[in-house]
Amino acid sequence: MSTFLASGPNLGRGGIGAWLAGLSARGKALVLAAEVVVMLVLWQLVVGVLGWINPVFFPPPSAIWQGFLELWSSGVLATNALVSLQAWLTGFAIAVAIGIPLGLLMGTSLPVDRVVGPIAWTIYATPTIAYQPLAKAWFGFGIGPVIFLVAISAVFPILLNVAAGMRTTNPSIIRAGTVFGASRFQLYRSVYLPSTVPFLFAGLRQAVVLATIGMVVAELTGSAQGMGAVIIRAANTYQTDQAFAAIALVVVWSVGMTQVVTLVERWVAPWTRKARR
Amino acid sequence: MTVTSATGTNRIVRPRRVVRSGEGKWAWLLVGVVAAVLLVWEAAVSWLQLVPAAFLPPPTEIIAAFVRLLGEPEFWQAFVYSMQNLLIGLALAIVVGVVVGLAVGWSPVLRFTVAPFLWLLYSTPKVALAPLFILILGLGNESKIALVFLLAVFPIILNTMEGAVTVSPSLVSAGRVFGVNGVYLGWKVIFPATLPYSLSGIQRGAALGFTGEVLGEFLGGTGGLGHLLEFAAYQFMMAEAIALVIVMVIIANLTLWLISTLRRRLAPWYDDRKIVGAS
Amino acid sequence: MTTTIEPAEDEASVSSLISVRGLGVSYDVARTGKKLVAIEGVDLDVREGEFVTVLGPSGCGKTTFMNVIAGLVKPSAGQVLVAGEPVTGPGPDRAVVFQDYALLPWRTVFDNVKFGLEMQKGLKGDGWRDRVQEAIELVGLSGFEHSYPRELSGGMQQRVGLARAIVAEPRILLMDEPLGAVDALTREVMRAEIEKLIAATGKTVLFITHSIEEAILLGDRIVVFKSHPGAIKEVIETGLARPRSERSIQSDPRFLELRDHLWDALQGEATAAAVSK
Repeated sequence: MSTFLASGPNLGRGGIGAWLAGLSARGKALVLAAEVVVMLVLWQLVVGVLGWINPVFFPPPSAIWQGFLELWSSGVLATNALVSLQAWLTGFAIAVAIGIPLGLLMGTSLPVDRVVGPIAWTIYATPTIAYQPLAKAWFGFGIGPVIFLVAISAVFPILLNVAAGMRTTNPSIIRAGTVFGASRFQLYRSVYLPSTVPFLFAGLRQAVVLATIGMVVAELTGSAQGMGAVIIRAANTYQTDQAFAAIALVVVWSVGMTQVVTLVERWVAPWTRKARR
Repeated sequence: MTVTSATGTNRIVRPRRVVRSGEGKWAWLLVGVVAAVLLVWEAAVSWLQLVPAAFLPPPTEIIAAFVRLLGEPEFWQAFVYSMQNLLIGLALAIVVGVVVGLAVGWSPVLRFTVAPFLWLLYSTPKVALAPLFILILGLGNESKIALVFLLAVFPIILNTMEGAVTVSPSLVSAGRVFGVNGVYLGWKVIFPATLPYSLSGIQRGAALGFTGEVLGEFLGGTGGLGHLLEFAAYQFMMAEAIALVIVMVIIANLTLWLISTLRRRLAPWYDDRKIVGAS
Repeated sequence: MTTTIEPAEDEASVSSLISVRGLGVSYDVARTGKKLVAIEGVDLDVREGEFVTVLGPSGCGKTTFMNVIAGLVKPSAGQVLVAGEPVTGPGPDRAVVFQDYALLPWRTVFDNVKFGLEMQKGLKGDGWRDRVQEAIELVGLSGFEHSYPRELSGGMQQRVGLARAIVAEPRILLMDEPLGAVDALTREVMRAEIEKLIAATGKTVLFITHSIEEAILLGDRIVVFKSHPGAIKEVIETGLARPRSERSIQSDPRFLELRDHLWDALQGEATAAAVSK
């Protein structure tokens, strides 16, 4: 999130750019909030009031809110969100349970790294949607393929980040540990593992985003339940307001879980917070 | 310890293959392990019949299906269909992404007004919009190209923007000292310095665009590799389905490799670990 | 050149704490199949309580030399005796201060200093807390116990490195260009503090540097290294009274004489290195 708040190349300009750059953090947040409000009002105006765009294709904020209320009051939201939640959490837990130990093993043993690494990268490079029809054929039409796609989407960023973290442990810290007489086990516990922690959380953050994409893809293409199923049903019946409301909820989930990972990281690994001097 | 990239996360980079003595034996180990796995798979399915072959066909059957596939004109039709949409969508995304990314990275005002929304859209799982695209644009090529574009454009914008923002101020100053200014400064200093970042974004965009194309084919229409795969799996022709997945794995990895090679060729000075790795 | 610069007399190995005999280190270069000689034929004796500076151009093998004494690198010829015992690996009688500090980023100042005790002697009883605190006070970091390394300046980080090295009370301190990465002003201040600290604790020090002034200001003796292959060129007794204030010593004729002599010696080395390439 920091990129657009960065000062950027100094082009020696004045005016509004300089004014914005000179704002305090709170001032910037206020300007941003105002922008969001302006954007929403404009959207409402163009689609809802002036009708320049067909509201079926691009419903205004008020209609999306209406759609949300409809989903809520009919109980559709609760049942489907629960199914998605269950699939997401199960898949993610499987990914974590496989990814962390295997990543640590790859980081510890060079032969494992050289065998698992290329295979993992090859699978990771392929969008997981390619595996969806197989998952459907193997696991049926229920929650099974959704869990599979979430897990396979999330496991590789975790695995590869943990392995990379172990492999890139600062050699001079390892040397320091050796000089102070650390045993192999002490070195592992006091040097390798802590320096892998930031990588693990980076991997988890990527995994959250990819797992959510995997979940939506799986639910869109062959699941009777879940948020993806709500979206596609709503779209097929031209209730785009409901579709947008469901999409918004998925976005909130994805962003929320990323924040959760960041909060856990701050708690577990306070040293990774950026220095403010 | 780590550097934040445009994705807001610390990305790791696939280790570059370093040819060193001793590395060769690892390649043999890998080949050996893969061969052993395939052998066990073959044994478990066709000889010991622990798993029904209809469910998980043995490797030999998959290889046969793969070879058969390559000889079928329908496969090549589907291949051309998918690749055409993918390339058109990606080309549009690259043009729009680089231009918008440079503009937003270059101008503090735009960075402040537009970038937060770009960010929001970037972190949205946009695959969820796929049904709406089909609703609006129909089942033909247009909806697929639009999906490819939509999914591919944001990583390109954000990486380019990050590149433009992180162009070292001293580089810009140096350009100005030598009297380079305006558009020329952009072309001679900012564009080349940003190029490797854009290529990173294009790499990510290509993978997401591929997802868009295949998802579009899953959801509707009668063309493309995704449709063939969906159909094969639906008919429970598992050997064909797995062979098609292998085709997709090859395409995805080939694309990735192509763009990394391009990046190394166009920007040999640039070290990927600098932006995305850890020190 | 005047005759007052005499080679230091060879000490009898009986009274020396560190005794290096015919030391050589060479590496096999896998690619070419040749041997790379890092250092060759090094003999040196260091008395208990002596401050020896090792001066040489970069790449002359002085760091390799220190790593052998630290027990991080195995010699391919000759041997190193510490208190009469041959060095086989790192031990609690020797501690190292690294040029790049090599602090654990996930530990606070207090815990980083603790690391020195933890790995070597274990943490039994309650006495260790006082010892850690004492070491922190000794390097002037009281009040920063709970800061993370990233919150400190380079000079302060190196103070942590110093405290970590002295906390377990080693007999020998090995310092590998400890002030190489701090700014010039801090370097001057810390030079004086290191001198004071060593005088107070009576440690035996091997201090590696490429700065002529630093070598003279700190050392009782200066060991000058030459490169290709790394070997001792000469050993000089400084014969300057302590404490040495930076100001007053700059005009001391002995200081000027040593500086000119070392300057010529290193100049010859640098030219030779440039020609041999």
